[in-house]
Amino acid sequence: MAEEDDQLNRLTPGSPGADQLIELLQRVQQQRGWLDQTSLAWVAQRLALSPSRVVGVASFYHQFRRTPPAPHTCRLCQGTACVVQGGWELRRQLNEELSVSDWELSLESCLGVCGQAPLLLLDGVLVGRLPSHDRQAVRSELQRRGLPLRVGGRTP
Amino acid sequence: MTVCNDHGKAADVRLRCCLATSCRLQGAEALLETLREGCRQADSVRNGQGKQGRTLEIRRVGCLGLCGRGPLLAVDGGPGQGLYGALSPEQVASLLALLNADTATGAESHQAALLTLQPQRLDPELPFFRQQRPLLLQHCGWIDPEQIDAALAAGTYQQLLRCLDHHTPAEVRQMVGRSGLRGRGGAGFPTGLKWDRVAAEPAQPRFVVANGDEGDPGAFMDRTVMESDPHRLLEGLLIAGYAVGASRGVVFVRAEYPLAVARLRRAIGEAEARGLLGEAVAGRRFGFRISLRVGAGAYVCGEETALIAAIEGRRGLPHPRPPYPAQRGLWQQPTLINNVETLAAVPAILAFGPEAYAAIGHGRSRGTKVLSLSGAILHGGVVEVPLGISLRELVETIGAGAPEGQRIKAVQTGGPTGGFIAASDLDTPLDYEAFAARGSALGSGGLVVIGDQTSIPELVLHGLRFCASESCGQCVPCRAGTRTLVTLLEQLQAGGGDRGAAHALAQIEELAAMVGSASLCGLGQGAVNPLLNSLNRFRSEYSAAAEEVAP
Repeated sequence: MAEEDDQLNRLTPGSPGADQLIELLQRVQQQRGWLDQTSLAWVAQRLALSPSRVVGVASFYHQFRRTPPAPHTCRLCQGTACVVQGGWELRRQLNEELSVSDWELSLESCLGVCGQAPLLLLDGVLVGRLPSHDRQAVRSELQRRGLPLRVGGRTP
Repeated sequence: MTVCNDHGKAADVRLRCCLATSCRLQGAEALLETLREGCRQADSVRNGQGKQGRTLEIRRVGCLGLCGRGPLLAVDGGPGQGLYGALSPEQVASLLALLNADTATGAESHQAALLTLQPQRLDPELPFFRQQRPLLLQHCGWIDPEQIDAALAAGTYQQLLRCLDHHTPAEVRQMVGRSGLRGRGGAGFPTGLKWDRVAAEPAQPRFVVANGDEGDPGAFMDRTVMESDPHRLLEGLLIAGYAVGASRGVVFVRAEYPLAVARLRRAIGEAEARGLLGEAVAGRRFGFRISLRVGAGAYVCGEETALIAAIEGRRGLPHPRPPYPAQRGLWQQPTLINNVETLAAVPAILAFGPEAYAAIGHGRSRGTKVLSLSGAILHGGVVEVPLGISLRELVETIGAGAPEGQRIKAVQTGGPTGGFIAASDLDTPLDYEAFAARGSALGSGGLVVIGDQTSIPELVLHGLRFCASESCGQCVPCRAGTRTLVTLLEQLQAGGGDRGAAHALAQIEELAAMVGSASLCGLGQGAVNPLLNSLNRFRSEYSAAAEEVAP
C-alpha cells in the first residue's frame, strides 16, 4: 500500500482541506476505477476527516462506485426525450436479453444528446435513433456493434 | 495555393466544424480529421501542379444549434456555402473537390458536386435559424471555444473593462436591474434584486457561484454555453463579482459534462495567463479568482443550499431558508448564486443595452431565453428566442412540429419538477407567469415535446421514480412520499387496487398535495407538480390506464 499511497499523494498539490474531499475521491476513482475500503481510509487520513464522513460522501453521490466496474459498459439513456421516443422498450429488451457478466448496464438520467433519441453508449460509442419498436432490428444493430445479446432472454 | 490552417486571416472559405458534445458523439472528430486530411492532399496536388485556388480555414467551433442533425458543418463562402448535417466521407470528398477546384473549372462539375451535397444541406432560411434572437449565444458556433484570442476578437471581456473603468458597482447592479433579467435556472427571481441583497451584506469575503449543475433531463442550454463560449460565462462571473464586492468565484459543473469541464478549465487558465483573473484584473484595482468545482452526480445539488454543501465537500443536503445564501452561503459568508445562463446573459445585456433588452419580452418576462428542444420534434436542438413568443411558434414553426406519423399531445416544461402544457394550450406565451398559470413552469428551459403515442401517466411515473431516487432522504415528505406515490401509481396502472381507480386517484392526489406543501426543498415540492398538473389536464388517461387492466 505504501507505494500506492505515494502515487495517490502526488495527486493533491497544495494544502488539504475538507472541501477537497469530493475532488480527491474523483481522482482516486479515476485512477483505480472504483473506491475500495483501503482508498477510502487513505482519503480520510489524508484530509484528516473521520472515515464516516468520507464514506458518507462517497455513498451519497452517484458518480462514486463502491464495487469494481465491469470491463464493458452499456449506458442507456432514460432521459425524457429518450423515453418518449422508445427508451422504455429498449430498457425492457436489454434487461431481458443482456446478461453477460462482463457487460454492465447502467441507466442514465439524461446524456444530453436528445436529438439522437433513443440512444445508448457502448463503451463510450454512441448508438442513436434505435428503432425500438422492432426488437429484431435493435438486436442486429447492437450485435453488429459488439454487444452480446440473447434471443428472448433465454440462452439459445 | 490553398492554405489549410486553423487560424488563417481572411480565408476565401471558412469551414466551421461543430465540436460540442452532441456532434462529437455523432462523429464530429472524424469529420474534422477527414476535412484536414482532404485539405492536405488537395494542397500537395495543387502545389505540384502550380495551380491557384481558394484559401480555406478550418475552425473548430461550439454548438451550431440543430443538434438532431449532427455532426454539423458550416461552410462560409465559396460554391458550397451553407450548413450541412451528417455528411458521409464521400460527400466530404465532394465538398473538398468543389472548394479546391481551380476557379476556371467548368460549372458542370460544380453542379454535380452540389447535387450530391444537397440532401444533407440545411436551408439557412429555416425558421429554426431565422426566428432566433441570438444575444447570449451570439458567438456560439462562430468562435473557437478553446482560444481566448477568438473570444477577445469577438469582444468578450469588453463589458467587464467598461464596468471597471466607467461604472461603480452600484451602477452595474442598477443596469442589471433595469434590464428586467430574472434567474434563468427556473425560479425567475429578479437578478438585480439578488445582487443588491448580497452587496448590502457587511461581511467579507463574499463569493459568487455559477450554478452549472444542469440536471433536468431534456435540458442542455447551460452545457451549450459552457462548451461553446466559456469566456462569456467567466466575464459574467467577473462582472457579478465586481458588482457585489466579491473577490472569489466558483463555477460548479456537473460531472456528466466532461467537455464543459475541460473547456472551462482551459478558459480559466488562459484568462489567468492574460491577467484577466488575479490580484489585479486587467491591471485595475479589482482582484478576482475563479475556481472550478466538478459535481459528483446528484440532482438535488442544483438546489442552492445543497450546491453549497457539495462545494464544501459534504453530502448534498439542502437546509431550510432563511438564512439565504445571500446572507450566509459558502463557509457562512455572503454568497451570490446565479445560474450559468443568467451570468452569461449579463455581458450580452450590457453590450446590447439594458433598456433595449427590457424592450424585448412579455409581461414580467423580459429579454431572451435559451431553450433546448427535444422529444417528438423534427428540428431539435438549442435555440435563443425572445420571451413572449407562443409555445406554438416555438414548437410548430421553429421546431417544425412532430415527426411524420406523430401528433403533439403536450409539451413537458420545467423538467421533472415542472409540468405539461397540453396541445390545446400551445398559444401560451413563453412567460414565467403564463406557464405558472397553466400549472407548469418555464423552469430552466428544457422543453420535451410529447407525441400522441406516449402515455402521460407512464411519463409522470418515470419522472417520480427519478425524483424518488434523487431525494436526499433528509425530510420525510419527500423521501417517503415520493416512494409511496410511485407505488400507488404502479398499483393504479395495475387496476387501481381493491377499492377502484377513483379511490386510488383521490388518495394519490391527497398525498401529492401533502408532499408538495411539506417538503423541505424544491425537489420534493416540485416532484409532484407534473402529477398534479396532469391529473387536471389528462385525468382521463389515468382512469383509462386503470380500467384497461381492471377485471
